[in-house]
Amino acid sequence: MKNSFKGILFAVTLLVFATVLAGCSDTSSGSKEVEASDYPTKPITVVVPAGAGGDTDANARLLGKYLEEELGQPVVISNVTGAGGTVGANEVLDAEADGHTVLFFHNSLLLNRILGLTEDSYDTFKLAGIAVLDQGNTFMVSGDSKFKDLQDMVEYARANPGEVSIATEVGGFTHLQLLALQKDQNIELNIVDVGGASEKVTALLGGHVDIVPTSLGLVKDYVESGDMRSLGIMASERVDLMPDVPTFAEQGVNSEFEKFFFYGFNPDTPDKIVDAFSKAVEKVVNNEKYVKEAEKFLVTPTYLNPEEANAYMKKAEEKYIELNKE
Amino acid sequence: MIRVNKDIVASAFLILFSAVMYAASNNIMKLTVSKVGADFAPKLVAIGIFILSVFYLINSIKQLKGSNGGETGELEQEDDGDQKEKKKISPLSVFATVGLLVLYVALLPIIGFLITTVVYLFAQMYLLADKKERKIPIFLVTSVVTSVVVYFIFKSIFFLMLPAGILG
Amino acid sequence: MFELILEGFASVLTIKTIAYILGGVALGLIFGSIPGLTATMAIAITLPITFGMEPIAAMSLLMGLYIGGVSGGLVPAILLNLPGTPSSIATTFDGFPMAKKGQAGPAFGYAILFSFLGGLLSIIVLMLLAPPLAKLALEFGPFEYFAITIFALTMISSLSGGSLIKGLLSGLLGIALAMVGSAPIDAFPRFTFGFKDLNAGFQLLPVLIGLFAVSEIIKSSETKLKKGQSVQYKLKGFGFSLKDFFKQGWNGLRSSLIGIGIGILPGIGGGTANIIAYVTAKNQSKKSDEFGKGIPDGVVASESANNAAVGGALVPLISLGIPGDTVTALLLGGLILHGLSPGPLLIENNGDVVYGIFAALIIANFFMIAMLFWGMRIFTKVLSIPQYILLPIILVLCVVGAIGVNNRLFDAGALLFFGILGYAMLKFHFPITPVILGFILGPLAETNLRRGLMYSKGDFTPFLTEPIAAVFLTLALLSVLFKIRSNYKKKRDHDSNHTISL
Repeated sequence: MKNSFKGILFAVTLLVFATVLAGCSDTSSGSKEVEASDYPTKPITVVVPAGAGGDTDANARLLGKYLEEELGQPVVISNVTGAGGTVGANEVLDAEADGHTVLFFHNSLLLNRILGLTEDSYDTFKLAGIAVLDQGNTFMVSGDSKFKDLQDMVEYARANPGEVSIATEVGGFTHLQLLALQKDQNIELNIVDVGGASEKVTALLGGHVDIVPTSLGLVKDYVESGDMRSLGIMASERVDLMPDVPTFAEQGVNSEFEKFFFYGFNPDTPDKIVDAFSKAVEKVVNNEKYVKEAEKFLVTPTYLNPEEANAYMKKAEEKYIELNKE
Repeated sequence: MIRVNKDIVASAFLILFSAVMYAASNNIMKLTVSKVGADFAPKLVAIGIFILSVFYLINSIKQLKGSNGGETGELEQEDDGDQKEKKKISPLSVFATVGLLVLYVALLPIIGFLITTVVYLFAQMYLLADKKERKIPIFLVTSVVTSVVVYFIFKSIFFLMLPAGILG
Repeated sequence: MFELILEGFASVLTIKTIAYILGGVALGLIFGSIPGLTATMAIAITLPITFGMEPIAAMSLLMGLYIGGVSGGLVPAILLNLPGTPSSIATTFDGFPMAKKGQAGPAFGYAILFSFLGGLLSIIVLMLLAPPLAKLALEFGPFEYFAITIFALTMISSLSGGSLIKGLLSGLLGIALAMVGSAPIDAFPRFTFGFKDLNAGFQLLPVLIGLFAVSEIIKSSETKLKKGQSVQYKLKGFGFSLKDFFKQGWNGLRSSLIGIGIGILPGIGGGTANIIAYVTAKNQSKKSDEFGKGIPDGVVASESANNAAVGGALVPLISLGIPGDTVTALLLGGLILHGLSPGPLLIENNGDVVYGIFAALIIANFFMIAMLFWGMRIFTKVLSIPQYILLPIILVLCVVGAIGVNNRLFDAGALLFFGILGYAMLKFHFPITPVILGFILGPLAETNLRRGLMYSKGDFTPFLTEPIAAVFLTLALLSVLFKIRSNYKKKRDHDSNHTISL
């Protein structure tokens, strides 16, 4: 008797509770249809498909700091790593298309489709534009390396096929740079997977590999300390931030790469919202204080609007597909 | 006795598991030219599990035969003592808890964190507590306070997006 | 050197910075002591707040969080048998049995004091020896990493409890579970059976708290729970005498050194340091049979090692800019955003900040011991909350924590799956710790095996001819042989005893 009473009491309380809470919801909901003019109405999550401490993360956080000022809402960086960045990309595609979840990523997104890892690429997203270009893609050797310059290395590699070991992350942006070099100079290198940016630094400092392709901004201190030397950068011409570093083209190697960092939204996001975000990015990129801070990473803040970004990435994809053909 | 049967069930399951694992390893794509590709380690582990489970099965059968003769291993005796300690195991209650957990996680994205958590907490406390200990008002207050506090701390201070569900 | 340290202290000894360290330690302890929440989360959440601060103040806050987050794990490990982070797994082995015997006080005393000492020793090592130690860590390439992970995996044989076969099977299961998702190196999906959600594989946190905490909650539903224990601990000081302390001296020192050594190696880190230190203490002890039944030596080994791993992990971070785990990766992110690039020039260019960090670490360590010392009276009160109220709340926090790892609901489902798996393993008497060890170390071993073969173009010999690799592989082989021999001996003794008793 007493038990059944308790059981009923239990059920009733649950029911009452659910209705009360559901009732409360009426007042707080109704904001589901986000008006573009209100945007953003809550904190924005920037999904970074790379770990903390790398260049993608650093650029995302620095931009986030200034975007917060422009948008008036907290900008939260969420590092979602795994599967060459596809996990993070999927998260944005699965999120609600209300403009409060955005992807911040680079060239590797294009590579994932080219290598058959995923069906998604830049055109799956609604792009809010490119914010940063990194022209300091370089090949580093250790300070006491026997290679004086790029040509020196290429000649040695030609004479000793498969002898020169070069680090990469298989399927990553740097892998493509190696393929380009091999193809252009018709040489064969021993391509070794060592992992992400910091593991590449370790591999070179520990003398485990001969050459490491990376971003000059990540290793500039090692250049200053004499632990590493740059063989040149893959920019079309010398870059103001690093005037002493020769380009590959100058040294007779036809290989040009530019790392770009972009923002992408779920494709169902209203245009007005993407526009609002894009405008905010433009303002940040033109903010002198931001530009000054970004210089530390040796990157060039460059705003490309959604259409320009689309065209730019389309061209990049075509080039990458060509390079990946064997 | 029952324990030894359990061992046989576990080893049979693991043998099956290793077979499925090995078969699935054959479907792994290979990109690198190296002989040791993405399927090497999975196959190695599958074979390892297979061999060990076979040993495990043989041991269990041996012990089963041995226990008929009244001779049990050191382990068995310890476990028997263990089992006497908690005699009153209620499998129904275990199933109810697991069911409740499954429902909780499944309904979280649909109904939202606040309501689901309140209901889950209350039901779970009710289920776990001894009949004499079921103090419904305390359970209710604790459930609501915990859910609300956790929700708002995580949402407003930590910006962790807990599913809002119908509370949108 | 001495002057620099003094300057470091001077820069940190302002009311504001001290308050930041204090707040950081307190918040870190809260995050560390709640199962499901971690130091990583505490730092990830606080990082954006530090952007507006002065670099030294920001770093002080983060160091406080780090120290607090790592230390907080001992609380649920001892009181509830729940390791909130991988770094306190081994603390549960003896800490919880001690608490069960009514010795929660001394268990806390040992854990807190040796956390403090291990942490302090590692910070001193960090200050004095960071550059040469970092150079040593650089010597570790894929061959060496492969060898050391294999060596660490052999620890499973000492953690298997009654049955070696079951322990090994658990370990292999852990390795197999870690294989779900993208393969290392080429990133092609394995064992995902077409489910997109599985591409990322399982995260460590849901696996850990699922296997340990959720399974425990399911198990607790086997019987109806009565009121909580009324706890009456007589706590005086740390709960043990000076003589007891000196008895643990060598154990604490050895465990701290293991913690520092493993902490320095990026990727292996604190999660395994406590287990390796525990196994070493057990194997070296004359009372190795008492391990797992509530012996202070076990708590001392685990807690010295996990706090010592903090200083170890900061060695490659500060002198090379190389993070060893998610926590140090976030710290690196914080340093970079303050315009400090960790690496060879950090001490030269920003010596003030570096010595500020050292000073903050030392101060944080003192705050940690003070707070835990005063707090342990409150912690033991947690036990007086009825379990039927406490456990459901912990479960909710675990779910929230799991979602928080990657902001994905999928991880909550994974948490549940591992909870059920853990419960099944308990029922079938399979040890759980080897699963975690396999889960952490398996991918490292595989990745480094394949990387090593890329270096050597498919040649296996460097794994045996590289000196460091060879040493560790030999150690691994010896530890297995040793275990087989002692098992064989035990069995023979047991059999002969048996015949006599018959």
